[in-house]
Amino acid sequence: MPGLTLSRVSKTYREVTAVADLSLDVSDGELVTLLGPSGCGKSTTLRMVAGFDVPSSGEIHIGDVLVSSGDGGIALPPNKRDIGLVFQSYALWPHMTVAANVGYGLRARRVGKDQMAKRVQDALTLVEMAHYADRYPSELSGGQQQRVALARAIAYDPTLLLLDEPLSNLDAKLRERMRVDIRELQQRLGLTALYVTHDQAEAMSMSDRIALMCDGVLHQIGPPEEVYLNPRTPFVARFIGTSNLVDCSVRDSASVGAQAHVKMPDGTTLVGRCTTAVQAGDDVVVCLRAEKIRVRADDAAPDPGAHAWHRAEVTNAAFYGDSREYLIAAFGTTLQVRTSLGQSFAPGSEVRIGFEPGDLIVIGAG
Amino acid sequence: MDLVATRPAGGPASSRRPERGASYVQGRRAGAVGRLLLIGILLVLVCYPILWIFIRGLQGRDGGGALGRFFRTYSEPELVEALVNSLTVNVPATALAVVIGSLFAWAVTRTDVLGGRFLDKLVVVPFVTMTLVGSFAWVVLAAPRTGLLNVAVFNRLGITIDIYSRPGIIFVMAVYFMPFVYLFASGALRRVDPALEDASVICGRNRFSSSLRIMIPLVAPAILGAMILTFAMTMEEFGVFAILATPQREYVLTTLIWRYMNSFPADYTGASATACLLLAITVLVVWAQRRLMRSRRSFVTVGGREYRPARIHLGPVGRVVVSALCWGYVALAVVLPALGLLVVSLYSVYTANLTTDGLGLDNWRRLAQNGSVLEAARNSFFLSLGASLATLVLTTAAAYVMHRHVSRGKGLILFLTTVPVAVPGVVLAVGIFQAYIHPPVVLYGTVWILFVAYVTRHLPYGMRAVEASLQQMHEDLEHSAAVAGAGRFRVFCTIVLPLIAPGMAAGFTIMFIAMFRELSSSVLLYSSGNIVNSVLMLEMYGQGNNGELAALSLVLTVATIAFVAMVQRLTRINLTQSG
Repeated sequence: MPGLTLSRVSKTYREVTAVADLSLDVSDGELVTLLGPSGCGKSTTLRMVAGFDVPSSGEIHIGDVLVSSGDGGIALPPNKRDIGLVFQSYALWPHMTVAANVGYGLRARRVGKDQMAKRVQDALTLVEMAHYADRYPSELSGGQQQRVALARAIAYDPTLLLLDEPLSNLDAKLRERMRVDIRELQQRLGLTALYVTHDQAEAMSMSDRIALMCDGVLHQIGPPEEVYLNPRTPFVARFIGTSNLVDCSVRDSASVGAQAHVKMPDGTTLVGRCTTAVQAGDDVVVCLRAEKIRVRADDAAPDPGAHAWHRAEVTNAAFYGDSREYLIAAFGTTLQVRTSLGQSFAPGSEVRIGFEPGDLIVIGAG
Repeated sequence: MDLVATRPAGGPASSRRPERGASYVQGRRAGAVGRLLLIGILLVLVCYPILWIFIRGLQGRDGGGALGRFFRTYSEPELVEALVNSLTVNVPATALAVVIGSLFAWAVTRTDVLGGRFLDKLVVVPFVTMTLVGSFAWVVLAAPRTGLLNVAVFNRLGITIDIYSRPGIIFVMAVYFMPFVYLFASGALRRVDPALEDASVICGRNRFSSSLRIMIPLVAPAILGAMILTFAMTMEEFGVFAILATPQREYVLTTLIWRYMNSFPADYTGASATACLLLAITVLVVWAQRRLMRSRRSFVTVGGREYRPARIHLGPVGRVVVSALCWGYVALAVVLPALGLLVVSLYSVYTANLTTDGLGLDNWRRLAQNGSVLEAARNSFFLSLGASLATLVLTTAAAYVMHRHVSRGKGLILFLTTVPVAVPGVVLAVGIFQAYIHPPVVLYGTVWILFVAYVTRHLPYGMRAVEASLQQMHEDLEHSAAVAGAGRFRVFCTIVLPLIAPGMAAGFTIMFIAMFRELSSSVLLYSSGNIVNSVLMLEMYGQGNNGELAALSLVLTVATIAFVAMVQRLTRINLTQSG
């Protein structure tokens, strides 16, 4: 039985469609991330699951309980849904101690005093904040407040955990650490979780599955590797990883996973791998990840490798400490290329670039 | 900001520095002189009168040793009785105003009460009208024998309500100070992050319960602050007591001062002593409020972001009940008095028997031709206009001087411009009277004594409006103009002034309105030929000229509301929030 089910959920505000016909399941104990740019509908979806908004149409089930029905006029209020929510701004109550904040949900459920004290202690220990029980939120740092917010959300063992961009107010290093901590906690407790973010690194490192949304529409949902290696729409290809997207046309018809020939803007024909079914002559978008492109000096001995090397010119070069990034003109367009340290190429130099056919992703543009 | 260091290489920097350096030093000297001048003016305006209050007030009655004199003055039965009267009316009135104001604020900002937006605008109307007008309206409605409500409704039920009684006065005070608490409370409620309430709902409490458990404790410190300030305002109130208590020869501290000043022979010592006592009380109260707002327990940031929180959905029954209560209150506090005044203005002979004969526009016609009314209106208008402009200039200068944090004297300027908040109008008038009735500067008998009083009293209003505007203006805007080459004066005229102009306009409006209806200082300082509107209206009441007074009251109220609405629309600033 899935922990959360959205069936054809839509939300429209007058003429604007915030969420369009969204259907997805979150299995029991799974962490699914809604990933997308601002305005893609991920926060609206979260609010509907939480119960702060009602869908215009469609149904939402938490466990086997129908909590929202757009057409049926059912809207269970948030306080009856047994969910935990970590707010982007933490929303810790400033006039209550950490312990009081964490125990609030237990009090609302009329848990006895001793039991409550123990469960508050347990929750705080899980987030390593046990020693701060008597402090006030204003005395804590951002990272500490975030952990208290997390403890509060899980203290009463909810059926579903929602997280609304919880790490966006933290600095980079702290974010990296918290990603790991949150994921560990979720797995340890076996909580079903729906995570909302615009940060792809968070989504990739934490999720069992990622759901990519744009303009209210679900583009693709799948495990991180699947989404990374096989993006099925140009948006997904662009949003995940550093990608070069080139508009081309495809010469053959092919099914998903099959190879096909594509014609680049400068006329070169390349072989790529299709992630959607295509018909000969279709407009397609070709995706090449920056780190999959290999660069070699123009005059080096021909490499008896599997792939062809194409002529190109470096127009820009940058050094990042652990890698180099180049802008390289090739195939009638400019490609962003990332290489490990090795030979360095100055702007203006003629080079050769190469890649595996499997790394040239062909996506139907329709 | 070192302009020299950022100049590109080429040409000796030192040869160009002296020019800039010289004008910079000149600028600084001019600035220092200006600052001293400003402080001097403020000191004379604010401290000189207060000094005189202390000199006469602590002198006590003649004869006997200093301590004996002091003791005799402050144990005088009249004084003690006035103090007791003040406290026994103002404490319950404040409590009532706070309860009604807070609940009303909660209903309008947090629930889906019907017509919330209109309630928000209407509830503030009593605040904009003169308390003199309000009290008079309630006399018209609820005087024991001639009140419209008594004659038309209550007497038939065998009961009489008496607005002159203590509960009656408490009621009127509560109604006219409730809007102040409402503004404070609704502002505070709007500044609490709605996520805090949402979080409570998620944890399992329904929205109603969440609102009570979370919102109320969070805004409690702000409301407490409002309560203390409201109490200070009730203590310095004059008009209500002049109309409702003086006829029975019951005095509070403010009206007692007035009585002392107007008795024959005038009792200046008694007035000053009472003024000292009242001043001590209000200073203590305002100080307590400042301390409270600064402490950690205040969870709402002043001037913080405003949110639009989710509304609590009262059930169909609840919605009707709450809406009925709110609109019922508005009907009672706003509509009823206005109707009462309208009725009285339409009858040429003041009577409670509402028959169709006697109905006419006589009063209105007489009002339009009333020479003294026109003269008083003219006086009030020009006096308020001039004093508002003068105060605006002074406070803009003061606020700007404080804004540049390198200046010295900042603390003193701040102190001088906010002290008048703690000084009741009558008290200031007593001081100004003592100060300017004899050399070196004699202003008594001229319009200038009123001018000085108005400017001094309203310094805090101007300061607040201009300061708020200046704080919102990021200092980088000035810095970038300076980097581009503009001197301080040019920066002020071309950058700062245009940006704070809306705030200044708001401040001007608030001050103008406040000065136009100012009563408690004017009533002690006016002289024949310099009568102002508010004092004239008090005289009309004393003469029983009720019909014309009612008409005049309506005209003034409507004009004030229209003026406020117009300025708000033009500057797009919410005057009720900056006031």
